[in-house]
Amino acid sequence: MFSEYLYLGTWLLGGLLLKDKKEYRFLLTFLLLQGGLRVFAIGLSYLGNNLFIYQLIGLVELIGAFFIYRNRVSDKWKNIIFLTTIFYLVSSVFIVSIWSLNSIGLAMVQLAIIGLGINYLWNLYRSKSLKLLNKVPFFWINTAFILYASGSFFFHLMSAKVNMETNDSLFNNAWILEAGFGILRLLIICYTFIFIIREK
Amino acid sequence: MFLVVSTLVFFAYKYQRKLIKERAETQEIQELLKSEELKSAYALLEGQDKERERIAQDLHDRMGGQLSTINMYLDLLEKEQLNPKQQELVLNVKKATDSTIEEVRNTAHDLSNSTLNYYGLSKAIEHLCGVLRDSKKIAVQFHSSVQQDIPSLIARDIYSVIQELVTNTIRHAEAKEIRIELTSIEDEVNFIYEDNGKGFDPNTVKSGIGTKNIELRVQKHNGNVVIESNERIGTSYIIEIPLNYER
Repeated sequence: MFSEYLYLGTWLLGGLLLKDKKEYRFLLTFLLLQGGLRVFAIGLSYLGNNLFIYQLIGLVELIGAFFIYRNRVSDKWKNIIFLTTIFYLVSSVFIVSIWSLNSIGLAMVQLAIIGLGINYLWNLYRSKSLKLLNKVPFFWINTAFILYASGSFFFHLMSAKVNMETNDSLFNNAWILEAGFGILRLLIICYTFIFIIREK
Repeated sequence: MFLVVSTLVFFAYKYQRKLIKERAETQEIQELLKSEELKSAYALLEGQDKERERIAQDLHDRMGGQLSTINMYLDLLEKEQLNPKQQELVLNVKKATDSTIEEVRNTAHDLSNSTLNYYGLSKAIEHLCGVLRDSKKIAVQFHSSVQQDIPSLIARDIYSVIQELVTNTIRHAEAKEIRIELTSIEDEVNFIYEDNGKGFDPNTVKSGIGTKNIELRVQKHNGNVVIESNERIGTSYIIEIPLNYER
């Protein structure tokens, strides 16, 4: 549950520290939407099935990541993200159901985010004005995103393979692992926000 | 997950290597530019020296020659039968011409460093000190223990540096005394120049053209300048120049 609130905490920290930095507005919106939806999902879990919220979270994850990376990756990613979104929506609605976890769709989302991250690294490597990596804030944000995406990709692939509804302990451990990666991502982002302000 | 972490580590490694390589290249370019700038500055100094030589030669040969001719005519005129008033005028013109010839000779001498060319560095500095002593503006001490021949290019630059330092002392230092010590040990010539003037802050005055010229002339021969300046004890320059350095 901590990781869900941490999204909102990170958004609050970013909002306070970077209120005059427009280039981080997509990241802040992403954190707010993620935090809001995740907290809402927790509340809904006491009433019944909340998995459709996780379908929505997956969509926010994909489209949000695309907007965050938009100016830092090549144009062809527009098409790749569009196709991944179509695949995700079709699989959510027609293949699985919006009332269950779309593991394959979510794994595809994380794979696309890893792709965005690697494309960013490639562009950074080819850029003409190289800086020390620890002086490039977006490098850390990218690291946070692809580390989380790789952990989440592993979790969703595993959940697609194993029927977690019949194996409670595996299900709980997998969610803890997923939350752990989420916390790692948010802590790195918090560090980056503080770093940006210190460097100002 | 392992693949992503490996990619990140590999990227960081490659990126840092590229960064180090790029920085080394930038530094190399900057050093090259600096050396090109120095070359241009040295060329400018050499050009100035040549121009001075040419002006000195012209002064000595043309103007000196013309003035000597005027003097000759005045000698002839003096032998003519003139009234006392005219004789007095001729005498005055002759005196003025003699004094102008002397001035032109001295200026040409100062410009061309002829003593330096004919008698060597120590004698040239000794001559310069003599002129300064005669001016009664400042007391000068000069000691030389040079044991071998100093290449003419180095000698010319050392002489120019000393001229520059003397000019600075007279113009700005309000000093009463200058001390110059010239020594050469094995393959190095060094000299100490001291005055007891009011001193200056080397960090702020360092960028002045005079000081820059001094540094350029010394660096041209891969030499080294140490400046110490203090309000109570004045200013001292310690300059070391290797004799076997080839540009």
